[in-house]
Amino acid sequence: MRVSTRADRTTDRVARNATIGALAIIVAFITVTAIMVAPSGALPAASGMKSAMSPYFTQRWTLFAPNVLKSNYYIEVQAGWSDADGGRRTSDWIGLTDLEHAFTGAGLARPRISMLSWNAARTYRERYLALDEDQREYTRTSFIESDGDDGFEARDPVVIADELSEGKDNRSDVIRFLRVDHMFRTHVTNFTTAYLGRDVDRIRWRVTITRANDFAHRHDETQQFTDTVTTYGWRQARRTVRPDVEAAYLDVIERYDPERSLVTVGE
Amino acid sequence: MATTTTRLAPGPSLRPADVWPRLVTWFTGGPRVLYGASLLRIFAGAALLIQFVPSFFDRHYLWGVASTWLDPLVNLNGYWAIFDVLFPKGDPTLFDASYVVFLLLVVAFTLGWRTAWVTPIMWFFLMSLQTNATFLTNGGDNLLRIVLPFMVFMRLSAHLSLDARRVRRRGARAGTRVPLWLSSTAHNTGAVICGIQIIAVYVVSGLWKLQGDDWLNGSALYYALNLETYRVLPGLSDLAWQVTPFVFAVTFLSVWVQVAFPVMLLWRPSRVFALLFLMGMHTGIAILLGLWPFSLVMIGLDMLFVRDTTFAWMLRKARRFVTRLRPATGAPRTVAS
Repeated sequence: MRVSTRADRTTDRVARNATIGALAIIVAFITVTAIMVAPSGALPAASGMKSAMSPYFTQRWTLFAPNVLKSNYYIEVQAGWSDADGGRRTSDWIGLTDLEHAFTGAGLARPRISMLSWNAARTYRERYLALDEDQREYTRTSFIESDGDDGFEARDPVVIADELSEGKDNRSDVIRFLRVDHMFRTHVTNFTTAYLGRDVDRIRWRVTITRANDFAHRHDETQQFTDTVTTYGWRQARRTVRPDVEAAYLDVIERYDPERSLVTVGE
Repeated sequence: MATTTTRLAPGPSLRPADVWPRLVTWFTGGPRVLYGASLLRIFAGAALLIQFVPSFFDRHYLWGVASTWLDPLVNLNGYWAIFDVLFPKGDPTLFDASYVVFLLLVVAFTLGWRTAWVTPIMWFFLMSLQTNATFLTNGGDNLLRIVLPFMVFMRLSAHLSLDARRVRRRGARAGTRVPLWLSSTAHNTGAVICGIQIIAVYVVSGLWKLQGDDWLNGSALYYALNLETYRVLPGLSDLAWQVTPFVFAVTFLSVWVQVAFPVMLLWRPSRVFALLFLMGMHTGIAILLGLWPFSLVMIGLDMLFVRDTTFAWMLRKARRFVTRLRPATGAPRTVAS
């Protein structure tokens, strides 16, 4: 019979400790995973930990759950400017999402650009729907006012937030919406400036939602649902667009829509 | 009348005193699932290449200077400032250089070249790029971001890699100096964590689906195939949803196999069925919905549940098949008389 040596015992101890360490790491991983996948509010005691871990450890596996996404989201944008003679001009609607979907190479993976405005529109729409009906109506009005000198200027965002929240208990929803609205203002200014090749002074956008027939009507020739189009009010364009930013937008536009064919509907 | 009694072969004892030594041996006695880990590397690398090579020309629009409009949301995520270093939105030269280096790292990772060093560096580049934007990631990106730090500790290049070829050529000199118990424990722990992660994805996703009508009434696949942004092959998508039994079968099976996945792993036949179904499902998602990066990461992680002995058996079969196909050289010619 082989006698256990001191070296063997040391090896056994190292192996045992290594296994204990491995199991401890695995248990910690399972614990963190359980906390991260728990529905919000289910584990209030762990909310701090969830918040700290979330950017690196988000575990949302609900793209097609509980129900499959049924709607398609499209953003169209429009811009206005003043001519040299002082006349006000407005562009036609431009299909921003259509441009990002105008890639070649069917059958392969979609380039990431196809996700950008589609997901942005979804987020904007979700935050819009979190507001009540009065607030939604407000967001569909203009956020521009006269500057008292034959021109226009952006309304104070703090005043807009106050007016939207007045008498309501959902100021956080208002702020969440205005944050994305502000982002859209920048994005649409950049995009329309590059697309139209001119400075613009006001912009607006609309979100169009389409959906296929329900499963029960899948073979019907007629469209079951009418498209939902929500047009938001005019916003003041950003004052300046940096040349390098405009060049990056222009590069994408030139490659995906060189003929500027996505100007869809006249005003 | 004589009776015969069939005795079942005794399974492994589940007494703690017996389980513990087996556990210690499993973790420290050598790296497991090396074929699965190598395939995970290749699939994850392919997923990154499919994602970032076609986006090369859109890089400034998506993650660079033109993506500053996303900053109000990006800044809320609270990522570490160190991730801002490599892909600055205000420095296109450094941004471009980092993008090219990142692609080269992904190629090196996929080919299994210096994998132990390349993996953590590639992870840092990936995080740095992805944290520049929002609205651009999907489940596959999220999954890879979670498992890559653990893959750093795994032996991802034991097979089908330049590292493996170098080891074969140079012998032990090219091997690692890390003690076997340490490298084995690190690798096996990483593999177990990756396995737990994919189980979590399946179970959580399946449980959420069980709360939705579309999955319970069997129509979910129809709706997924009719989302414009995922219709990369519209003709094929339309063909698929018009076969109603196919829609029902795939919808039901995908929910129940996901929910039952951890239990199905315990018995070999059900494990084989679950893995084949899920790999087939993800291949379908890749082809029909164009979600190649997501599907490849999922299939790569599924591979961790296939034993090395099974891969070795499949390789032997494949080699025999190839040998049979190959014309015999040096064999005497038969001349018809």
